[in-house]
Amino acid sequence: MELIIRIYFGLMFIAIIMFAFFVILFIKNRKLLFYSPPVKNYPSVSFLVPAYNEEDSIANTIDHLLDLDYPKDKIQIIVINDGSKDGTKKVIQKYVSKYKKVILLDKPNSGKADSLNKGIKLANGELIAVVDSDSFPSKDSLKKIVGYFEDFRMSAVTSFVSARNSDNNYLSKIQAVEYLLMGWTRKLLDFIDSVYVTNGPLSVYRKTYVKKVGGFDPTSITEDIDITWNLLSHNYKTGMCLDARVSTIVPTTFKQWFRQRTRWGLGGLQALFKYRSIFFKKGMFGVFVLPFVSLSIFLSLFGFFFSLYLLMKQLFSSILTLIYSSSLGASLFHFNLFNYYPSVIIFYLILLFISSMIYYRFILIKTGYMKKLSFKVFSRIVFYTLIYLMIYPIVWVVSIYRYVVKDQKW
Amino acid sequence: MVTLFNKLVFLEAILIAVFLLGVGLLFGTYYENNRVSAISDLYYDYEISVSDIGYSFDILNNHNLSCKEKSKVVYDLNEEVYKTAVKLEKYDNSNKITPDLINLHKRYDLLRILLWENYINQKKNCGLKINTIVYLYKYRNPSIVTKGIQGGISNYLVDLDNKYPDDIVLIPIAADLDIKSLDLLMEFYNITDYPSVIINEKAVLKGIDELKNSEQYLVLNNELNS
Repeated sequence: MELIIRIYFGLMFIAIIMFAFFVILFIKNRKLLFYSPPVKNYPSVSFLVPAYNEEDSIANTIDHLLDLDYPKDKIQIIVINDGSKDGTKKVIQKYVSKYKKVILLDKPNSGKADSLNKGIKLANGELIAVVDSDSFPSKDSLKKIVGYFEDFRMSAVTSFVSARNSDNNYLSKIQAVEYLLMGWTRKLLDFIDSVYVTNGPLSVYRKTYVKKVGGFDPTSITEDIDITWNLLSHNYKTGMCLDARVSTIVPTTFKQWFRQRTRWGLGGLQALFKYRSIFFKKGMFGVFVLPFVSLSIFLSLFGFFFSLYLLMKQLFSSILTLIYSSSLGASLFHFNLFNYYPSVIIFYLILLFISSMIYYRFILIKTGYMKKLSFKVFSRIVFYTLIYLMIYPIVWVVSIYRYVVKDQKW
Repeated sequence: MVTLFNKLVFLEAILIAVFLLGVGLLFGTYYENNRVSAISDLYYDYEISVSDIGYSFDILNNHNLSCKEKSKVVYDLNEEVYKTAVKLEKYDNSNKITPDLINLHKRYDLLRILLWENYINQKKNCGLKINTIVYLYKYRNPSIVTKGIQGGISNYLVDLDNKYPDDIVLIPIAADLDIKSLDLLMEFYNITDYPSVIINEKAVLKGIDELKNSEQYLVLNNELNS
């Protein structure tokens, strides 16, 4: 067997393992997907809302928190103005003067992680809930989450994020699909104690455990990844509640999107490097999460460069054929010289693609994104699978570059 | 703690992947075997055509027919061989799970060498007037540049064949399949690099620039008939 065929089969084998892994996890736990553990006593919760230049959205976020279906005396809302240069502080002050439970922590700009650490010092809740200032938790989201903390080992529980501005343009529509698939996958990982990101839009933490592990790391560009890994590395549990919904504003320009994704990528690399000594140690985190994340990055990059290599090889030889044909004054193409017999690999790829489409369709219906598959949504899924995911490794390349040159810009 | 029920997912996923990959490999082998058998059928057609040419030449020589009559028979046979060769090419170049395809390629390259030899003999013994263009190309892992050059040469030679369908017999042969008889011929023509084109066993053209003047080495139909 030729080397290229062996590589193809190797990649295909790993892709099938990953696909089968998630499908089996789903089948086995399908009745528990939307399950939220019942709450005996509602714990007190301190919301931490770090804000930097968010005058347009911060009021809406605070309104959503005030409107939550949760015992009012058990809630504290700490809005941290991280040295905003716009009217964010004024907006917060209006709420502070109107609601006792809303507290303003005004401080010079020092980043999100530091803002959260300062917020924790003021928090009087048993749990702390981190909410991004451009995110909007649904009314029952907190109620659905707190039940998970009946398990004393549970340190953090994250929510199911959707794109609020999904109809803005095609990029936001694609991200809407992506967020649903990410949330679904994260929930499946919950069944093997491997939720490795507690997202910024809404995640709830047990305050004592966060304090025990040293709080949020100000040197990390993605404090949400870092704190999750820190908690996991201390053998605490993390979870995900698929029924706790939060909407967030997603980037609408390619530039914003790329910046955001390279920041996530950079944060992931920082975390991988920071926790590298735990590889294959300390339960699911070392044995599964770290190798899984590393393998995903490696395969994404390898698959990208391998495909790029083959594509370029084909492209260059075709261009050279055109050049040499025209220099000989010959026809540029002869149909009878064209090889159109597909290989087995092509059948495999088509099978994997069709299976993915069926699986994605199922997820989008189950999560309430659509009732039945329309052509428009189908085209989005196809675009997401064939284009978006294929070019995503470029984000990793730039993230690695940013990591190497120590570019820590938000 | 992760329950044993969920822990088994890892093992189950691997088993399913092994099963699917195994099924895929079996299907792939079956698919390629089908392709090989399709090629085998073509190969036999090809073999019959080549033998037919060989016997035809013998018969023509033994019965003192004119070269004009001999030529007509050869043109008809040549057309048949060309069509079979094009079909064979279409099956080629795709991914190879089993080595059978390479071996088949070797076999039909050997037949092409035999065909070429037949033409050489008939040119010498009978005065057959036809242009043989032997195209020696790299089959195994050609570089990008070589692939581009070979693509250009193929297009050019097919054009040439279409331009003078009655005057030319085009014989493409993979030069790097370790066929000893071919190695001998290449040594005889002092060919160390390919792609190379041998026209009428006289001119050995290497590279694009030399090929541009290839038509000057052809003896065309009107000259053949004169």
